[in-house]
Amino acid sequence: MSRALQVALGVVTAFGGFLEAGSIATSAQAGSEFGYRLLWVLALGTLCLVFLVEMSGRLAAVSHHTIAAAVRERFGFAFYLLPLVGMVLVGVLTLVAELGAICIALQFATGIAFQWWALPVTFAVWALLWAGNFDVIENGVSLLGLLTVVFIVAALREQPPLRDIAAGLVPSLAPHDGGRFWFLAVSILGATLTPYLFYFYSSGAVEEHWDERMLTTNRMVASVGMGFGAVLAAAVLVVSATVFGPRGIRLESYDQLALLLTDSLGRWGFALFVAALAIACLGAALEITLALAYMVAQGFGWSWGENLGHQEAARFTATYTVALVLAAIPVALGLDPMRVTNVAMVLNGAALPLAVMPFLVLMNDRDYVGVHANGRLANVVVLVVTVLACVLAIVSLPLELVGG
Amino acid sequence: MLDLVRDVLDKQLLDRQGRPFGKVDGIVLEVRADAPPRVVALEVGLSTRLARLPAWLSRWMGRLTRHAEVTRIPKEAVMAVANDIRVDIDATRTPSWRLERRLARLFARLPGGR
Amino acid sequence: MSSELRVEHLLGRVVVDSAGRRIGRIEEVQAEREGPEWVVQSYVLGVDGLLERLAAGAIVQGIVGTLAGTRRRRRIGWDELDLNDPDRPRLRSASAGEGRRLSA
Repeated sequence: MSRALQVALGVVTAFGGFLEAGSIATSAQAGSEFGYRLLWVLALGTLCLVFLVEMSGRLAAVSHHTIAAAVRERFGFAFYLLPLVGMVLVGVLTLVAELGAICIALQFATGIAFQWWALPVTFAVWALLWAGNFDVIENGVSLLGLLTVVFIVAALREQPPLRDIAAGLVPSLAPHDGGRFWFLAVSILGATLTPYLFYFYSSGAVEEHWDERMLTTNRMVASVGMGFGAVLAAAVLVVSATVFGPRGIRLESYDQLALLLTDSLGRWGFALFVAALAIACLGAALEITLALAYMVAQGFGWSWGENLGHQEAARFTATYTVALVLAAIPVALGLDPMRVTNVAMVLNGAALPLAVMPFLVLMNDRDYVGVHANGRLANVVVLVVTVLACVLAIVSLPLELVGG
Repeated sequence: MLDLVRDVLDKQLLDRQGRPFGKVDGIVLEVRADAPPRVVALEVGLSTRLARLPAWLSRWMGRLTRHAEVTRIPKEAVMAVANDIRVDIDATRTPSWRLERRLARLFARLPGGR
Repeated sequence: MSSELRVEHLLGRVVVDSAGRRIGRIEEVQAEREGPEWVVQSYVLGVDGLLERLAAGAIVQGIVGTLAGTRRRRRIGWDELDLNDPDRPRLRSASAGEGRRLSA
């Protein structure tokens, strides 16, 4: 495969995983309540994510280990349990958010309440993993995910003031409602820096048998892919700022969010939003489920891989099956998807140090990455953003739960 | 010189056919009078793993290990110690494969898939 | 008389000398080939055993660019460790000064 095609596919896959229920909801909420003033948080989170994704690809290419496998081997079983339990809990909750959003989209399309869609949707996700293989799933869903470009089209049609957007990219403090501002800030960080993304990326790199020749491609995919994903999320924020901002609407449910594109795209706006939401979240649901199963299987040393059939990787198959069943339950019980999404994103932020610290140690360990160890900038950016997200999450989640 | 903790413990095990079948959960030494301890076997198993947790946690999870199957790999079976540990064993015949086999049988009843 | 011992249980155990003073934690067990056998030659004790394994120092090193204090490590021979009570390994030599000191 030519280098250009590889990069293209990688980019499509990468931003396919970026935009999902959390990014859409938090970006829209940020836009409606604070205009463009939280854009810098999105930019900062994306910068950190580019580093993390590039690092996970580098780890896979040089050491031929995935993050989870390497964490177990380097730190031992007892220490590995800590990130594992944290990741699984947050991952399943995030999966609930994604499944919920797909069901909500179907509710908008058909009028049938989202709870009834829980089982069929979960089964469909499971069936795709059961019957598909890695390339088909990744490429298929990612290509469909290009539909999310509709957010950029809408943003351009809204003709937002560029000066305000530029101003939003400069870090600023809360103009009002400090608690809510920082809550949304950590939600954006959590939605951008979901650990499943870079854990999944390292697994994919190992499955594709990456080696040191892929390092440049890796860098391009990480930066362009994540960058493009951020542009999509920023587009959602911008559209929300121009459509909902002036009316002072606080987005509390997907019902309100569904009108996001009607201003700029007319009658098609609603249908396009529904389709984009469903597809983006489907891609995310597949990735999270696989990422969870990967984390468990790789840490325990089982055979794993989407390219392996269930006969060869039965425990891996059982793991993703159990994850999906668990995640379907809250959706079927009617738990409010928007609320779940908000909580899940903040918890992702809180769990970041758990996911990132061991990873950071590995990236500085020459036994694993040889001469390709981290530079100081990568270490500093990731460390700072991770600690910031965690502190914000611990402070703001209780406040929001009590006040909201 | 082999660093047992860094290079063997928790490393990926591959069987004769290159099949992954767990990580090294334990290394068994024989302590002898007037002679240095020698490596006797590698172990893979849930109870071995749980025993490495802090006491209060492993006590609480101890109930899970009632049906624990531990696979002991004699050191003679170790073929290579590198990125992974290759052993001269058929993974499908080990106790640690029992769960895999049971699940595979269950999944075989479902249609489709590969 | 021989008995069985596990490397993963030795890991992290505090080693004391004959006077009961803490020498360090077992961080590594080093083995060498002797014919068909793998035989333990030495143990590496770390003064901050657990932290060493987590190599928190590596991150600090990478960021600050300087050593965050010298990690003191020390290697002792297999015959210097008394493992009659595996939960409480003791240094066999008379004083705490024995054992070759390793710097990080």
